[in-house]
Amino acid sequence: MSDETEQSDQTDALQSALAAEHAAVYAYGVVGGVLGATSAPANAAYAAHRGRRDQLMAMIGGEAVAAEPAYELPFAVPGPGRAQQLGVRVEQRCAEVYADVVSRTSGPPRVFAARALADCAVRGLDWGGDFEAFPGLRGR
Amino acid sequence: MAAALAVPVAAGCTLSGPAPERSPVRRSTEVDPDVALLEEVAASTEALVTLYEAVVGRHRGLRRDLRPVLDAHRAHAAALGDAAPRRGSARRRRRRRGGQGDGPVDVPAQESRAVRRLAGAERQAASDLLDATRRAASGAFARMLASMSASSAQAVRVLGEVGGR
Repeated sequence: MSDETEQSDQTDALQSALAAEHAAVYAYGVVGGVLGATSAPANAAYAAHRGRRDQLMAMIGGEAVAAEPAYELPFAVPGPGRAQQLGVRVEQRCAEVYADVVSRTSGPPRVFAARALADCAVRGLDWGGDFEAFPGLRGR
Repeated sequence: MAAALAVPVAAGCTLSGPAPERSPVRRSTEVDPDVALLEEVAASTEALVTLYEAVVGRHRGLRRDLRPVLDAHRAHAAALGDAAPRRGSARRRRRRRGGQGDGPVDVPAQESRAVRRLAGAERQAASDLLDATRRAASGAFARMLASMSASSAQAVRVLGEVGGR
């Protein structure tokens, strides 16, 4: 792979992570709306994903993908139980995306993605997700 | 970027390229820059498995709570063994020279201290695996190492809950 192609693939990988973070921020807006403004886990997760989103935008620069106006959620979120399940789903999805970013990057972007993967894995556990031998590699 | 290592994470599942035994190219430490790293990580993983086995051997009451984490580390060791150029070679070499993980493990008599020791080992594993992720030449191998690091980060959380009971 040429340096130019490798750089392009790295940027594409970071863009996919940014798109996932935009969706995560949206989803946690819904989770926070259901669990209430005083829900510490929802607030912490929302802040964490906003932080990663902002870091990715800074890493990518002017070509960074924008957020969609709205996102289709995987299921309705009428109450706290479903809100927690959405938290698990968001973290699993982001973990998968970051695992892919790790494989397509090197240097600081790869370390950034690996740290984000671990954060997602732990947060997913906190929402009631399963302990996993290989977080982010589900289905591979 | 080199991507020579096949990185299976479960039986029959390979993340990049053909499994070693199917490859027409014979792999060796001379041609694959990740082999030395793989053996380093495999040694640490086996030492962690040995520590968990010693802890659950001494504190039977922890067996149920620690089972998922111990199983995860055994899965890590198996995946690393499958990814090695010659299956099981690293383990055999370490056994011959009496390497890490072969000696008796000193387990704290107090259950809570034993759990804290495991948590410390998991924090170190997460950190070491993150560093290994940075160093890996193969993207697929880096992905597996990052996932193992994330699993150790989860284990720290699990052990915090077990120790807090």
